[in-house]
Amino acid sequence: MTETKTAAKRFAYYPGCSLKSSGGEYDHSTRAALKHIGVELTEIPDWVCCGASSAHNLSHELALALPLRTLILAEPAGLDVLAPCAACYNRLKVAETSVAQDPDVKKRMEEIVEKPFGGSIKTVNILDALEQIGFGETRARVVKPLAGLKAVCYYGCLLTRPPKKLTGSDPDNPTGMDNLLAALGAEPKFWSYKTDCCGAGHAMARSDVVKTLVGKLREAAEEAGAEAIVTACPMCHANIDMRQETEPGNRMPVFFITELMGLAFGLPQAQSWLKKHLVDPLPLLKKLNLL
Amino acid sequence: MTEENVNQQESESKTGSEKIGAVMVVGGGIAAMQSSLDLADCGFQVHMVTNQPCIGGNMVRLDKVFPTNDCSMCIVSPKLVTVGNHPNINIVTMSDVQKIEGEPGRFDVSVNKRARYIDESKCTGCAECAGVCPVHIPNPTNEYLNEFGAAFRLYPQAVPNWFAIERERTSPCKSACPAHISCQGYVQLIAEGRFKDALEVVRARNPFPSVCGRVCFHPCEEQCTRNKVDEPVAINNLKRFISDLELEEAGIVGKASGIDRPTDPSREPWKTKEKDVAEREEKVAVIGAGPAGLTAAYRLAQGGFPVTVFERLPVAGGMLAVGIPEYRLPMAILKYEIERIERAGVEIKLNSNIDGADGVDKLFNQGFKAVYIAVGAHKDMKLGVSGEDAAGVLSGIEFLRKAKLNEETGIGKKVLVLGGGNVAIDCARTAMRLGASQVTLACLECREEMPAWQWEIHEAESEGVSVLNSWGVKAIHATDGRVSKVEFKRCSQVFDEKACFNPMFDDSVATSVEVDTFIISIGQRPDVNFSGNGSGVKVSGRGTVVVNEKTAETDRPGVFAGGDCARGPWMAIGAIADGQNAAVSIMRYLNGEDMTAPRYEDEMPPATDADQKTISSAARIPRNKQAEVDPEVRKKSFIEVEKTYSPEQAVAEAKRCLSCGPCSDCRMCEMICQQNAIDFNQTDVDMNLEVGAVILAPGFETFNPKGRLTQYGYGVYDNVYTSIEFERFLSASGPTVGHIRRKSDNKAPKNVAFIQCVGSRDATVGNEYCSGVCCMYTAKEAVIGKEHEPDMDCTVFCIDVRAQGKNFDRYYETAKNVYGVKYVRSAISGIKEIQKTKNLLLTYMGEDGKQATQEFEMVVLAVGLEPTSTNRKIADIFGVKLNEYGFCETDPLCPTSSGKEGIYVAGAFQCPKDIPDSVTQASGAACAAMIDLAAERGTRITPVQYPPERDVAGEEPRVGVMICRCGFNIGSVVDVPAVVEYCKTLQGVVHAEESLYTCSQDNLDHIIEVVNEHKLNRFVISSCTVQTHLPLFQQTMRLAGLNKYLFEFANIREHDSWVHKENPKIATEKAKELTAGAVARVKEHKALEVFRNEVIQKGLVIGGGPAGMTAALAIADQGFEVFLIEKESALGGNLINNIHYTVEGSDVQNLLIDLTTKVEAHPRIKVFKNCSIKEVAGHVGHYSTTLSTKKTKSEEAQTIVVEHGICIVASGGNEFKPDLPFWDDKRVMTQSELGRALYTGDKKITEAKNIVIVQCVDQRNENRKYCSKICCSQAVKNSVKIKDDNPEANVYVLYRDIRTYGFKELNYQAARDRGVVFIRFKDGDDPVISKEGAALRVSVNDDVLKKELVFEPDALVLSVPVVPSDTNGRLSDLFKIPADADGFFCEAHAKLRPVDFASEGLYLCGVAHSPKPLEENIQQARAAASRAMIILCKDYLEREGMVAQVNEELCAACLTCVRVCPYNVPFINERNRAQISGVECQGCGCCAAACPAKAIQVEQFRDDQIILQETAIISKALQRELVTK
Repeated sequence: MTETKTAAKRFAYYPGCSLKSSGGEYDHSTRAALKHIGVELTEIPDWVCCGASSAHNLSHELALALPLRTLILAEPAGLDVLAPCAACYNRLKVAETSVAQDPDVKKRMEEIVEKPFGGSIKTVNILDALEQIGFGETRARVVKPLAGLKAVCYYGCLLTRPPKKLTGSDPDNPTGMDNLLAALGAEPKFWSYKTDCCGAGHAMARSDVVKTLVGKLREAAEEAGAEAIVTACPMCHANIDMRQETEPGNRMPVFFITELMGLAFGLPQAQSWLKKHLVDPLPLLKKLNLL
Repeated sequence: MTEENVNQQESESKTGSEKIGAVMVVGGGIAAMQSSLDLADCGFQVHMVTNQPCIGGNMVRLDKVFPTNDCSMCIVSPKLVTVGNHPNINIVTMSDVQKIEGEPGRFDVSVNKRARYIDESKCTGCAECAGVCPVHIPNPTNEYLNEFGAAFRLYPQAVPNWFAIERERTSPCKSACPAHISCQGYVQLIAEGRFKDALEVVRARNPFPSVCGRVCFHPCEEQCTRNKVDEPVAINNLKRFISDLELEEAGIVGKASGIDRPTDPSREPWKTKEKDVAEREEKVAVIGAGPAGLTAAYRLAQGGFPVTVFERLPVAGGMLAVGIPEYRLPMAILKYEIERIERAGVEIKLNSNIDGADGVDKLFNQGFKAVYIAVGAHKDMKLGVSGEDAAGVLSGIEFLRKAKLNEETGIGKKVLVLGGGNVAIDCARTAMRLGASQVTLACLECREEMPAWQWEIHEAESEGVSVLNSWGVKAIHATDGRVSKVEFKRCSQVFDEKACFNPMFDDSVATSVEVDTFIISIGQRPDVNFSGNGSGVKVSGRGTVVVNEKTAETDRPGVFAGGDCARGPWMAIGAIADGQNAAVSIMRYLNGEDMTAPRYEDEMPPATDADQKTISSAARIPRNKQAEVDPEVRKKSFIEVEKTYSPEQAVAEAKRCLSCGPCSDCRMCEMICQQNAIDFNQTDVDMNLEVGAVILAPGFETFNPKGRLTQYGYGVYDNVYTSIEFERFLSASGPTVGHIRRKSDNKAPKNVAFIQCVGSRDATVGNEYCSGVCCMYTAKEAVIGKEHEPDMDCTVFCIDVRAQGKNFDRYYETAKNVYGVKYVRSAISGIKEIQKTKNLLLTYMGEDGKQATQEFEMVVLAVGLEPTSTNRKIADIFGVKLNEYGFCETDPLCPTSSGKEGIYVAGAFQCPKDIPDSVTQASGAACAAMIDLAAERGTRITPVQYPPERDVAGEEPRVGVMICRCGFNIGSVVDVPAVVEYCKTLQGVVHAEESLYTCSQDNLDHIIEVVNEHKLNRFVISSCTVQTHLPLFQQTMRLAGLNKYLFEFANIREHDSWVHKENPKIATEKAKELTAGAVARVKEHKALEVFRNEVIQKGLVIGGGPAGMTAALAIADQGFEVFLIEKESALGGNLINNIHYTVEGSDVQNLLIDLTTKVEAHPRIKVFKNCSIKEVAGHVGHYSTTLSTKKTKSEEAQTIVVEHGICIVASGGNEFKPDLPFWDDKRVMTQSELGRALYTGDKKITEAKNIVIVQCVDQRNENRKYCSKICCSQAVKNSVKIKDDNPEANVYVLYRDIRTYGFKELNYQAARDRGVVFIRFKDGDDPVISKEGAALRVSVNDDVLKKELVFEPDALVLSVPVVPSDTNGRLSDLFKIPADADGFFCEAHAKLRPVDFASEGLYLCGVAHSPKPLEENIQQARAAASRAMIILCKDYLEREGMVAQVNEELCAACLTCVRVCPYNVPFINERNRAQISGVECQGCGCCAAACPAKAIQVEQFRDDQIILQETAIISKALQRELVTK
């Protein structure tokens, strides 16, 4: 029992490209927040692209082989892989379950990657990871409860779908982020747009579509009584942060859940993460006395 | 019975003598009920085995049924009652089949029956147990939308009408309590505000509720399931609260503010039972008046034994009195409880020291027959350090005792207490209160290791005690002989790796405390000196008395020991438990019983938490805290630290309980039940049943979308419901008593969306089949919903509307056109909830083909039917196969056949289906079993033997009256003795009495005695409802030797005590009036004869198609003769030319050959071909029918009269070619012509490239307002065949709705997989067929593409209607059987009597009833045969004497009676007067009510009787008026 507990506190870390670039604040906040609750992350050596943005549209085999290679690299360490980026998580998890569900796929993939995969490790996203560890430590570390912060949790499409590959949470009403947010002392608002599309797939090509979709999300969040949106996906974050078409004063700040952990833990570097946001969250945080 | 038949049966019974004339029916729903009734009515014994506590299945949960809009409960409950009362049906509830052995005809079945905890032979269904049950569990009948008690009945009309107790486990709190007090029980009673009841529950296991409510360490709370949610229920505080209320009354404690206690005495069931205990002579001695001794003494005294308690101290109570400080347990409270014990007959002798090795001997010498040693552990442990004997060094126990007894303790100002346990804390806090200025507590343990409760340490600290952890005493220094300083060394470890006490010290770290008082409290031990010198009482090395753990016996017979002196120091409740246990042993010892026999705790079910669902869905509610007195105030005095709850707090806290049991074991039901029917010692029972055949009808479950179809937010959004939940909203007995209410705001919705195919036709959830019933039940729910809320809009989102059954399409059209239900052809992929209003947003494709979004206030998911969770087990046990969806796989042409001989299938076990199809199949399955066991008919039935009937004609009426109390149902409202006294004054009444439960078996026997003793010739019972109890009481009359019609019934429950609950006076008067009326009427009752008429045990079957032939064979195979008539020259009907294979692929022509060969060769079937009916005379049991046959080449025309007892009409129907100009074109054909072309490989179809199939040709329109049911399946079947034969061919099916219900949906899927193109057109926008030169043109407006499409097919197939046979009109006239507007015959009831005509003895099956596929016709034919056998198998029919009689002198032959009779019985006879045959009359009374001349009277309901009855009632009521004025 105690053994599994300690094991759960260490993860192999897969940042992926977003966290190394546009989603840098997600990377920093994840590392800092997890470290603060005693979780140790070891970046997977020589990790490669997960194939999220183009590979899976072009080649089914490449889309599985790329993430599988990373999993194979991670396996010797015997740690579950934490992929904070929802897209990365999705690709790694789909690869993991595809080879587990179909021996033929497994064989073919191992031929391509030229290495065997034992299937002994699992991919987790940030919410899974925290749920595994339990919220006890998180609750205990909260020094500035996010009292009064009314927010909707936006999981996006990649954390729960396709349900046959990403078994576990309810594909339409996941609750992990809501529970975490509540543990931080904030007030998660229920809405039914948790896993709707934000349009990230068309982020560049059809910004008009994205604006419509993001507009709907912002409206629904407001209707639900929220003043902020919380995500666990760098694409969702970028999209919603960038594509709100309303008056600048009316735009809703978007947080990474890990940034909020940092704020609630009272980590001094937390404010520096927020500087990258396009919709400035500081006025809201100031209004609520959370800074 | 004809001679031939007799011979036949005899010979069969000789060869088949090993078979058993009994059938087991598995299931309790409508199918199981129908199978059971048919078999039982035909002389077979039936064992109906259901895993539920009652029968009824899903039908009892429906509000209304389609297409008749009948109330489901109203139509099913008479059936329930019939099953329940049937002498040949043995209902085995709460049971599962475990094993089946043997062979067809002779099976041996093992059945496991679960404990009901209520004795079925005693329960009368009075509901008192449910009334006092404090537990709330979700009610499955109401889809968990509301709650009922742990003592429950699934629904009020349940049959058998027995309650059951939901008792799966012991709640962990009860199990954790050493005394096994029903903690959940008293907590839940508190939640209901029943505080006195709650206190009684505690007292049942513990005579010290107030004491324990204060000092108990409550292990119950540690195990409380709520720990898994938030914090445990404050069980102990609640116990204190209820005991404090009593103390308040006694003036012991101050009043808790707040609500009053409920004062209704009827809610205190413990008062209803007075224990009748015999006084005993054997004296028992108890040594020690602590909790163990006093508890044992109390229980023994309650058991009738004289008990004397010897106490060494000047006070009783043991450690409770002298070990627990006043601020934790006031002496007054302890005294109060001890006085209660004394009042029970316990004598306590204080200052009486019994000790020494001969102490026990002395007691025996004084005449005590048993001795209980419970002297506790009052001796302090010594530290063993020098200086311990200095002044100011005190022992903890002694210090506390002196303080409690107000003796001088000798403490100073600077006090040091040594010890980490609770006693040490008590010492420290007591010292503080005795005026010490500095109190320090030191112990070996670190803070976390301290054995004292953490909250006690906190409280001590808050009062100013400072705690020094991890120190061991090094030396005690004294100045002037008094202790002055204690030196400590660091304790580095208290326990070793093995968790043994093994302290290690580090001398280099030291400290010291300056003191003037040093209290040592490091443990205590017993002071036992009964051993040695042959005393026989053995004492262990630890100084404890050695006892047998289970029985508390010491080594000396008759001497028992318990509490701290036996087990070492422990908590009070442990001692109480010991005392309780010892009392049981001592009583058993004195009674000479086996002391090791199971005890209370051995019989408890295992302890587990509430189920996971309850835990995960429990709301988090913080625990209510008891108020505390401010530390600054309390540390100066001995007032109690904590204040008790207010009643509101207590109720709120108690409501946090999660009902783990779910039964709380409070035993209130046991106390209230007047029949002593509650039996908590029941266990599961295994039984064996011998049967000849088995029918499996376990039914279905509805699809639960939770977690399986998450996109609709079911279980997440407030206002999304399943259709079965909506059904319960509509039902008057549902959770909202018939109102449609939103969960979010409890308002009626203004608009409702129904989403179809939820869990059906959906591969993502694994259910690709169509559930067959949802489209219709949705239409019904929308219609009934609108009747409840006329302003409510209903919109149905669907793929197809499947209204394929008889009269279904009319219903659908009415829903649309009359009720305004909107239908949108669009599948809904997801629902959004608006947070502010909790309304729901649906996005769909609108009429115009564009995306539309609409807001709804409620959404109803039309959930499909799924196999039951028990299907797999049933299949494994019985060796039948399940299909990939979990339904039973059956013979495609005979859906009742499981493929295993002797094991048949009925209802939704085979395939999702509606009620009439289930009922039909159930009768069909019964028929199959009857054929197997024909020779054993009647062998397992023992008819009731009645004494000869006494002739009472000419006697003066001597009326007996019995007034029923129905437990509390009537008795608590109506003054029953007053009614009895009143009845005695009525003229003609010679005997009147009351009864507790009139219907209980002992009372029925008593009625027989009373009738005989008083020579009664009339009897009146005033009790409950005629519907359920009349047959039972009439049977009792017969057993008493009276004609059953010399009885009258008054309903003083439903009509009186229930409706006038608030006004007992008026209710009593009304009971008198109703009874007086019944007495007045019964005096005019005559003994009526039961008509008997002989049955001609031969059948007539009209129609030689597959249905007729099947029906004929089914009867003939049971040994009875059948006449089968066919108007054509050959048998076969439509099979001959039109059908070649079924949708499922079965070869129909083989079936035809098989059937005709069997029929033609059957010795008991006489076939008349080219035959028609000329004349019909007679009635059920005996018809004379004149047949005439046409002249043929081989035979002359002839006229024959056949005599028969029943008739089955299977006159069939035909494909109808409407008048269209294209029939001459060879490319145009009907669907069945296409079938034949495919069968024969006709080139016009095999070589066609483009084939267009048009559905619904000249049907479902103004000409023919019905759906022919078979065309969609045929079109699908044929298009699959076309594609299989020629994949290159293009097949286009133009349709309105594809109605491939059930597993036929898979064929539809197969057609689409093969590339058949299905094109939907709108209702009323039929495709246009024309000819352009040689080319055929079909143009259609595609409703999906919103485009006109034009085809030029090589073959054009038209799905034309099926119409009834043209002979139906004549048959209707001859047999007086009604046909509907479409020309099909009308069954007696669309739902529950699908193959009966209203007139008895006449049955229908096949297309004559309605168009349907072959397998359904075959099934229906067997069903008709099964129904007919009920008449045919009898030698004579018995007819109720209660029939209409015509007074010819008054009759004007106005024909009113002829017109109103629903059974077509009255006719105008040769004297030109109405005549009603007693044999045919059903006694309904319609004619008597309608006759303008009052020429018709129905016996028992004669006008003179009714007038007398009413006069009696009114004159009594007038008396009351006068009196009250």
